[in-house]
Amino acid sequence: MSKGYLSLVLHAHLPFVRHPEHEKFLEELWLFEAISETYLPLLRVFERLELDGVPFKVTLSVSPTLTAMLEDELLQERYLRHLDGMIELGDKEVRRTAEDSRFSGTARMYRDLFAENRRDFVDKYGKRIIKGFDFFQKKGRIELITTSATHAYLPLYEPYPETLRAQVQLAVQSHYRVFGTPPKGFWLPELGFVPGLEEYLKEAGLRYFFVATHGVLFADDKPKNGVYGPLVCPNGLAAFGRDLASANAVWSSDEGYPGDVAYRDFYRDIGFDLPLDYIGPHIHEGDLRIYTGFKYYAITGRTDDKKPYEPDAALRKTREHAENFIYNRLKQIKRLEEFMDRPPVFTCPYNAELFGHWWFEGPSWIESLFRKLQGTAEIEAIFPSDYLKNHPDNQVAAPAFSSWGNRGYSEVWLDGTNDWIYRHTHRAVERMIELVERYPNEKGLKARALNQAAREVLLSQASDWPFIMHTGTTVTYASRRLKEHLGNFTRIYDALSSGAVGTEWLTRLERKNNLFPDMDYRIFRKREDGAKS
Amino acid sequence: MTRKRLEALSFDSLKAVAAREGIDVPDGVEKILLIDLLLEIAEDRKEEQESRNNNPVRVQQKKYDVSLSRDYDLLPNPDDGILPEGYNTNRIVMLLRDPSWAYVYWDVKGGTLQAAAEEIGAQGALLRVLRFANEGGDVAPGKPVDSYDIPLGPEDTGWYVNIPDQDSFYRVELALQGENSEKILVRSNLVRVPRAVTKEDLSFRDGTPLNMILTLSGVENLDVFTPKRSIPQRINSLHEDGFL
Repeated sequence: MSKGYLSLVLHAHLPFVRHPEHEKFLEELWLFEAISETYLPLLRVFERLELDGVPFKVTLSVSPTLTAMLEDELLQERYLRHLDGMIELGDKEVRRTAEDSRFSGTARMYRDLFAENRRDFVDKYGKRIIKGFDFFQKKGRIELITTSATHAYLPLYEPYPETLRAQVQLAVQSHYRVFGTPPKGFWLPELGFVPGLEEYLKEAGLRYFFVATHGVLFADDKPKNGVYGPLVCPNGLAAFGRDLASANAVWSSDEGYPGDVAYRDFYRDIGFDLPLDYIGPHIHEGDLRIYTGFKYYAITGRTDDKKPYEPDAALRKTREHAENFIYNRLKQIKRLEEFMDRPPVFTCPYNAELFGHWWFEGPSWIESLFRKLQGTAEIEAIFPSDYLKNHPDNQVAAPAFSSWGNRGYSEVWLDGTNDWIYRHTHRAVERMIELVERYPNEKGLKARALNQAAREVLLSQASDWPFIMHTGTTVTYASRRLKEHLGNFTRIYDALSSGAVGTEWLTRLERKNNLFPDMDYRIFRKREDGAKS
Repeated sequence: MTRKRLEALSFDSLKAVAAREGIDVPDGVEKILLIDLLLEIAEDRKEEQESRNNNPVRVQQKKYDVSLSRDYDLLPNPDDGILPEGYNTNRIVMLLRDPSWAYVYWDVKGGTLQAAAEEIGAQGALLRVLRFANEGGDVAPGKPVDSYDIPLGPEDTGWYVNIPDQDSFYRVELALQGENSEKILVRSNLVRVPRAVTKEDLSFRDGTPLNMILTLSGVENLDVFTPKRSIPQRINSLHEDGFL
């Protein structure tokens, strides 16, 4: 019997970014890069492990906005166009570097990678990579879970139970529609938790969720198993706390594995390094320099004088680091077994896009991890739901207010850069609730307008917008998106009040922001618990 | 990306962006120099901001990085929706940011302030921060056990309020104060403030299994905001309190 469990949890999420009104749209690259560098490489890892009979278990949270985009035909076609552009650039790069042995191998690697992505995307998955996730779920290798419908950071919507319920219920419905099974677990966006959220999760039939380390350690009763066993909330839902030691080994670019000198440097990219007359056709609008994904240097160290990237050396490093990861968990087990009456569970939640996009070799590290785990009798990979089956008796305690953001609470999503948004997003919720009260049983055009209004309210709540404002990456876009959704909502609200909903405009909007096809605006119906006041 | 967008702006718009960033633009400065200055400031801010971000935030922001430079919010843009400065309704909402600070914003219906001010001969508005005891129940406050007031200026519509005591409930009221009376205009939602657990509370080093497990769970390495007993109106640096 194993002496400890490893619960690897990957959270795949991107905000809904779909712009049919533009031929090309810069921020759609977020999705394309994640498919090329994370989702397809991870599926290939799963496939190789399965072929070799390596038992692996990964809990994978896929956000409803991401599934909507992955299932969208327009974005599938645009990804294909993007891939063709990358393959063309790959061919150019192979020719450009042909005489330079320092870079020619890496150029071939990129060209082959994009070609392989194309084959997998088109031939294997018929452009629907969701099928890949579903396949491994059916094989019992991954446990698919969900997160809030548009990835709202829920603690900042606490005064509005209707929107908390809508975010959770709609996510579960969306998951069921796409994957055909109800999710057992829920990823709280940014691991943002306030006591009370567990009630909405329970209502939606969920069994477990994840919290930050201090969410468990600061619980209302001292956790006798620390973060190495779940707490069960008084309402029966289990909360698994994040293990800090394993988290830091993978997250930290300074002390963690991704910062190793042999790994690929994220920042050095030919999108910035090569002359415009060469790279122009492959960047945005010919002159806006962006990341292309073609990166030829290793991290090397804290220097601008980078060494050429050597893929084989980096691959060897992933094996060493996987071994080190397991070694350290074994050490933890040894220290913990003296104090625990059951095997510890190491809950390791990460953003999926960390693997491949930021840490290029991340998917290979995951592959090495499971291969090495196969020969390690003391540790077994596990899903949270299986842990709860094996160990149904857990300490009852209420986790504490927490998130995994800076300093553990809400300051990333609520500071001087983004606090202005809540006046408007909250007002939209209040008005949406009012619309449901005014129009409880609409059909036809009015119902379509109300459903779209509900979509727009939820889209405005994505945690991505305040996050981007805080970090200062693509602030204009985030700000614009927020205003666009609130503007759309207000237009519908006003039109319903005046009795004049424009069919043409509404149809165009429905085609643009086309997620949640089964939306029923009554999801915002006021229940008995009502808004706290 | 940002340079291209800045170059597309008129000189007056650039000056407006600079003013928002707190830069006093001297007369006669060339447009190109102003753009360089704005980009330089943006870069400094980016570095400063990144140094304050923890690992999950640092890694997560890479998902949205398409370019190297920090972006400016260059509003207004004719394509953008326009949001009102406020709404014609009476409401005040309190959002807990961490165990020591909450953000409060409010809207007041047109005419309400004036009518109320005339009624009681009000001198000014204030924000009253009320504490209720946590008596073990969920939410059933009786009379507030404590309160403090923040005087407001006529243009104020939002405020970060200090939470002096944890393990309590708080709400805020927007009130007008006359010479001999006051009128409460609107009352916020009730916010439950968690008890102030600090890592010191959990690092008791007594060698018990619980202590060992908490230590192994990383209780001494938590990078978590710790509430400080403070005077509500004390002015902290904006960085110290995480507002910037």
